[in-house]
Amino acid sequence: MKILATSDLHLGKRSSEVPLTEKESSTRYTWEQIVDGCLNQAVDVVLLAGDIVDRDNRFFEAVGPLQAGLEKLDRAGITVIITAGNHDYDVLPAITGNNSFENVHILGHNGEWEVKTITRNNQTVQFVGWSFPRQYVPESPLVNFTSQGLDPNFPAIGIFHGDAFSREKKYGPFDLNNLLNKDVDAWIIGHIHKPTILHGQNPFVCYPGSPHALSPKETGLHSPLMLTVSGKHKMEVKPVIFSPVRYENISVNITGAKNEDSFRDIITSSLRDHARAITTELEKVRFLIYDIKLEGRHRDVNVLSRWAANVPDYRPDVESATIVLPRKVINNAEPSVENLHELASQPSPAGIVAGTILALREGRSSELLESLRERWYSEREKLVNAVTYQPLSLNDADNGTLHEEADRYILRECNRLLNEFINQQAN
Amino acid sequence: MSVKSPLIFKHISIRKMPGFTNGLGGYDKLSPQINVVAGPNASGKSSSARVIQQLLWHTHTSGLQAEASAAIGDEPWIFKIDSSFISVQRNGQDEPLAALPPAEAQGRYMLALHELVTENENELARKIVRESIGGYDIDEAASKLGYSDTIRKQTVKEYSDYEKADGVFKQILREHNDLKDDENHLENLTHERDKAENSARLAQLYKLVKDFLEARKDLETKEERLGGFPAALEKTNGNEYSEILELEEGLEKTSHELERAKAGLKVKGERLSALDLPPNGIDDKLLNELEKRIENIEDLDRNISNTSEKKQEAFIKEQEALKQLDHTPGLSDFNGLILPDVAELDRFLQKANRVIIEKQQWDARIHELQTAVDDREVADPETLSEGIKSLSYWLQEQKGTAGMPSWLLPAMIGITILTGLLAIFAGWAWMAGILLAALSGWLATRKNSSSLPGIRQKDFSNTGLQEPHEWNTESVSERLQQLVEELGLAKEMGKNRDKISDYEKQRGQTLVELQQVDRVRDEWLEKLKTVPADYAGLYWFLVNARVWHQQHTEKEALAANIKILKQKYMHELGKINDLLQQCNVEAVSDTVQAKTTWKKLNQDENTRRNLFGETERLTSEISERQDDLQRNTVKLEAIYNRLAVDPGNKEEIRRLVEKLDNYRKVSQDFYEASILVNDRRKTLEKHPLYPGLADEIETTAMENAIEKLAKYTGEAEQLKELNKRINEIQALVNNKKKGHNLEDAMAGRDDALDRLGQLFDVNLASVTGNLIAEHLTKETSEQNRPAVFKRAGELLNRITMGRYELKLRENGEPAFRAYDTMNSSGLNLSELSTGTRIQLLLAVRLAFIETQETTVKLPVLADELLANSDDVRATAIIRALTEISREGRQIFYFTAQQDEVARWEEYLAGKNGTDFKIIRLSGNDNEHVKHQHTKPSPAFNYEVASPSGKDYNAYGKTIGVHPFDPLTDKPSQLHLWYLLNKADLLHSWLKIGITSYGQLKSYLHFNGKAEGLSTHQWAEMTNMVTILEHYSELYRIGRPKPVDRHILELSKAVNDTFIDDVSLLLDQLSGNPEKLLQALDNRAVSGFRKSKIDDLREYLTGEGYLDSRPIIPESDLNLRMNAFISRQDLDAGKAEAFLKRVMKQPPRDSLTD
Repeated sequence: MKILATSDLHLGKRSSEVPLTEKESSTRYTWEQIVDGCLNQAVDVVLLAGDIVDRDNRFFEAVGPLQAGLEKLDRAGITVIITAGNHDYDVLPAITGNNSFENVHILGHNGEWEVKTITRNNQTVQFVGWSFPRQYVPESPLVNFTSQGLDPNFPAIGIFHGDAFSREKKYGPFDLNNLLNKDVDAWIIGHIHKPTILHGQNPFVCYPGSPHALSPKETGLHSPLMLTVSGKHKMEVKPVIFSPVRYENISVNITGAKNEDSFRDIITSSLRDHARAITTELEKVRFLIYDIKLEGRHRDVNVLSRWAANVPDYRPDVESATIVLPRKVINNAEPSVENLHELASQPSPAGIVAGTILALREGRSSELLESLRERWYSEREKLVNAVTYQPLSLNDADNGTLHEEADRYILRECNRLLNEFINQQAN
Repeated sequence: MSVKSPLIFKHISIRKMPGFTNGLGGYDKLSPQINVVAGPNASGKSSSARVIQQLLWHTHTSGLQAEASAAIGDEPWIFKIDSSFISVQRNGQDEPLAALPPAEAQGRYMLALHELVTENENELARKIVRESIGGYDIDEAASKLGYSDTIRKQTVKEYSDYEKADGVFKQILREHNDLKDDENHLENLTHERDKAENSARLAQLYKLVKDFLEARKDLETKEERLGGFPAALEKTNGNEYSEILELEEGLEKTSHELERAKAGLKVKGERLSALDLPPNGIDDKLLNELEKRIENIEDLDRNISNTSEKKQEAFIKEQEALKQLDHTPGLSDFNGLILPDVAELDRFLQKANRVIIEKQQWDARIHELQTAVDDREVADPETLSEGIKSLSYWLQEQKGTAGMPSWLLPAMIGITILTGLLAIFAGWAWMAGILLAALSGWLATRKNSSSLPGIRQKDFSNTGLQEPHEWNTESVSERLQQLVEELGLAKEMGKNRDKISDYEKQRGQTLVELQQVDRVRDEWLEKLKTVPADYAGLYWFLVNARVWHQQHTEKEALAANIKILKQKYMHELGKINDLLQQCNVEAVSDTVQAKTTWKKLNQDENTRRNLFGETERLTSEISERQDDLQRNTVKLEAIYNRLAVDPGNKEEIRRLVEKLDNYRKVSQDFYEASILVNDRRKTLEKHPLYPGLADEIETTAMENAIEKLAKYTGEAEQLKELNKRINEIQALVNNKKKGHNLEDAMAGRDDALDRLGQLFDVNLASVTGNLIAEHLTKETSEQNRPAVFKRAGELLNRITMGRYELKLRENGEPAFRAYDTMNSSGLNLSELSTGTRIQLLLAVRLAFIETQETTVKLPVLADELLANSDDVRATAIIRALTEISREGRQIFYFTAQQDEVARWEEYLAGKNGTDFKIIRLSGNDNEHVKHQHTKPSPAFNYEVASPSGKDYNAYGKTIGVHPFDPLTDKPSQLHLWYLLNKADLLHSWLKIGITSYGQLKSYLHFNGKAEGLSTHQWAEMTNMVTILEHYSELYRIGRPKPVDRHILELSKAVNDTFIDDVSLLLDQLSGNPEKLLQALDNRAVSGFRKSKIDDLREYLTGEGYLDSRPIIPESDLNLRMNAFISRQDLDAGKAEAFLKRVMKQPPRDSLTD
């Protein structure tokens, strides 16, 4: 039995940084691709593990394409099994509630686990699912899970929406260990957009992730999974139907950039090389969007920042229909210092900065660094609480993240300062 | 502070560096304390300073070849740079120079005046602070990087963009929410619409019911009206009354016509009976035959009459013809004369007439000719010809006759003969004309000639013809003309005689024929007897006899014809009587009677026939009228019967007919009403709600139907509005489902949020940088500065020979004062002299340098610190540097100013114990190339040895003239030694620093004074250089140019792994790139790949180090040069001597051998 599994499509949204005029930027495009793909590949069952509809646009612009797609699948006799997520807990039942689709089923509509058994070509697979009954669910969805109703002779696939990492306690937090002993062969879970395999086999536990990359944070491959079930504990998994938008972070060493032309050459060739390296995954990718981190050493890291301002205009050609869009450049390059340790020994501002860079680079702490971090937290909090930045909702960062962030900022500015100091000497 | 050993450079050799491809030569025996390097601009001072720094820090060694020996304490150190190849050795062992200050701080060892000169006190204080922390300016760096602790306000674009995008999103979201509410109400609206739709359908039904009931009621009314009319109207067509009137009138008319026909029939029968004709009348055929036969006898009658008249006329003419014959022998006399005889007689008479006429014509012709012949007497033609001949000869023999040309006479004779001939053939008029003309011409030219007797005269006399009057030309010619004419006449007469003879013969024949005619005449006369015996009488008789014969014959014929006609007439008449007899008519006897009888008979028959036709017509008419009467009577009865009215009650019929229109209208109305009722019932029964309400509807009264109609219509009126509302919502929903406005707005908001996030990032980075800068300021002021200032104070004190001490007072911002130990007073910085200020800054700089040095004191380099200094300031600086050097630090002082050198010399002259060296750079020894490094090093001074009696070659060796290498050197670099042969003159140029042709050319270009150099000499020098330039060009063809390690590095074909090995190989091959590639091809360097060899070859070829062209053989080269020299304004011998001198000590040609 061929089962296509995905989640977090967020119909009603578009990928950021892609021109609005491009149809591929919308998740509806990917939904249509998924539907057509299911028809073309003779899929038997489609699993949608929640957040198929984006809450901010859940009434019409998402529902229209969703209904059209479900209708198409229904007409083709393809079974669709949906569990609702925190975004669409109230929308999905409204769409399918009037039994207008014979082959579309919402499992666990009331927050109760529900089993649906599907038999195709003498192959029977049981689907046990749970849906968000409301927007926030602070308890684990597995609390009231029971194997009752599951026939141990047939493979079973669990499907629900929940947070394995418990970053926030309101989206069905659960413990992975609780999934491992439930007499279920595979768990398809929604909520985390990045495709993630939590447990390799027996059972196979994964977040298939969003099939359509929506923001630069969602880097890497995004694709529904095709599960081919041929018996109890017999299942193959592979990604299919790639997102038309792909975000990537890439580090580029610009040590050899003597001028803006060579800088551009380095950037474009790095992007080209990276795109070529993943070219087999780009067949369906229309937009490949890069965030670029500049690394390496340069005589003037600040002039790099000026050059970097033009990077979004670069359009490196790749040998496919994919359009490469450099989005943003993070300048982490270091100034060209002959011997940072020697410099660090100098009783000068450059020496102090060099010492701080070395400490950050080597993971050492220092009184100065500690002092800087403390003050940085305070300054950041002021910024975060400023009215100007309220829309960013940055209050919820945890300490670990903040620590890394502080070091990242301090290191970057130390490099920039050191660059200036060296320039002062040179002049 | 630990004891630091100074690093002292002893020797520095610079073989190659960017800008000085031939290097700078060597700095030998350097002073461990002060080295003043003096030279003009661009002579290599700053470059030397950079090389010294690179020997220590190696930060920019590309293209640099340098080597230095130094000492740190007692240990010797060797520093080598060959581009990227760096070698540092202590005691012959590789060892990096440890504990060097960071490369970034190397600038601290380079002192520049502009860094030390400042007028503003605050600026000075800032500089002191900056120097105290290594020359860094934290505030400047922070400012340049835009560091600030400011939090961006809400007025920033990113925030307002977000607000705007969020506003758009919320607005569209509100619209969606509103529409969602509407969509939620759709169910209620739909229910209401369904209800309204049902009411609409009921309203529609009861409208049908109402319509049906109305129609049915109307039908009933019309049916009742229709019942009020007589039943007979149903069978009435409306024409019955008029039909009756018409029929009655017809019957009456027909009766009258019947009576009239019967009466007529009776009359006709009576008349018919009155005719005495056979019952069936007379056949037309008989009448026609009778008519025809009567016409025949009429014709016969007329023919008989006409023929009788003609017979009478013939008889009269016959009698008249007899009278003309003038005898009345009786007609029997001519009975033997038949008509063919008359015709034969006629032919005879015509023939006789012709013969007689012919005879008469012959007689006349003969008579006419005979008369002509008889009238003339002419000699015979032969005689005349002889005469003519004689005279002609005579005339011909008159040659030489005066007045006549020799050609004239024969011409005259010819003309005369021709004339004669023409006279014969063309007539005399022609001949006479021509002859006269000829004679006139001749006579006009003729002169008297004498006549001489001769044989011609005798011949002529023998002819017997009359001789000319005289025997002269004129007379003879005249006679000749006469004879010619006579000859023509004689010949014509001969012809006439011949004709007469011919006519005579033909006349004889005619006479024979005449005799035959006469005989026939006689036979006719005999036959006719009484006829006159001449041909005229015979003819007359013949004419009259022919008339008589014709009339007689015709009379006889007409008589016979009349007889036949009468026989026919009688026969025809008999036939006519036979026919009349068949008609019961009496026989007739002549034509008139017959015709009269026929006419009457014919007329009676016609009458009979007319009467018979009338009778038949009337009989038929009577029958028809009787039929009409019967038919119309039946019709009349049928009308009465159909309308059930008593026969004859015509008035009743009329009344019925008058009601018919009204009846028909009522009847039509009824019919239409009944159709309407049926239609409406069908429509009603088809309504979908009818089956369910049939019973109720069938019993529904009109009032009820109207009442329900009004009720349901009212309820249905909401339907339109409901539908509109529902359609609107559904359209909007469908539209929204297909749209993406909210999606776009969300994307716009997300993008704006992203930009706001980037602003946050920039803001946080700025704040972070600000934090770091603040920390740096605090850190450096607290930790480093006191130590630096303490040492700076000590240094200042030493430099100022104990006069000043530096005092630091730091309360927030640092404040400086100088304590004057002589005056025991503190001075503000503004109160210090310029020199003291510089000394103060030098002290701070040195103090910082010392604080960063750990074990080694490095040389300090100063670049023209004394420039534009007054004596006080210059002395202060020199003193400061001297004091610093006494601390064990080696000083390099670079200057282009001779006066600075003088100041140094002046100052140091009095300082025993201070070692120093003045090094002068001339800038003219930069032509070295790497492969010539074994050649003598150039001298570093302007001192040039004097020739002092040496010969030119010896002097050249003294001054160290570098050989010229045509492969690498430019002609402008050619030493003047090669171009001059006067040692004193050369010495004068060398003394002012001019060694090469290029320098001299530039010197002269800028109007330099060229003492001792004539214009001719200069031109000769220029020509020689031009020749050398051409020679060099030819010489370079096919020869490789030397390369070094730097070139290998630039090629990028030799990576770090192989650069040392390949460079070593290159050195062994004296820099010959061609040999290097051959060696590499032969795997002289193990592991060096072929592709890299190809890359290197490509690079060297592309850059011109390799020349693929064949080398020009020497003989060819000399030939080409000879040709070139021949075009120059220079003696070939001088040119050759010059080139030989240049090439006498050619550079090692190791590249090509």
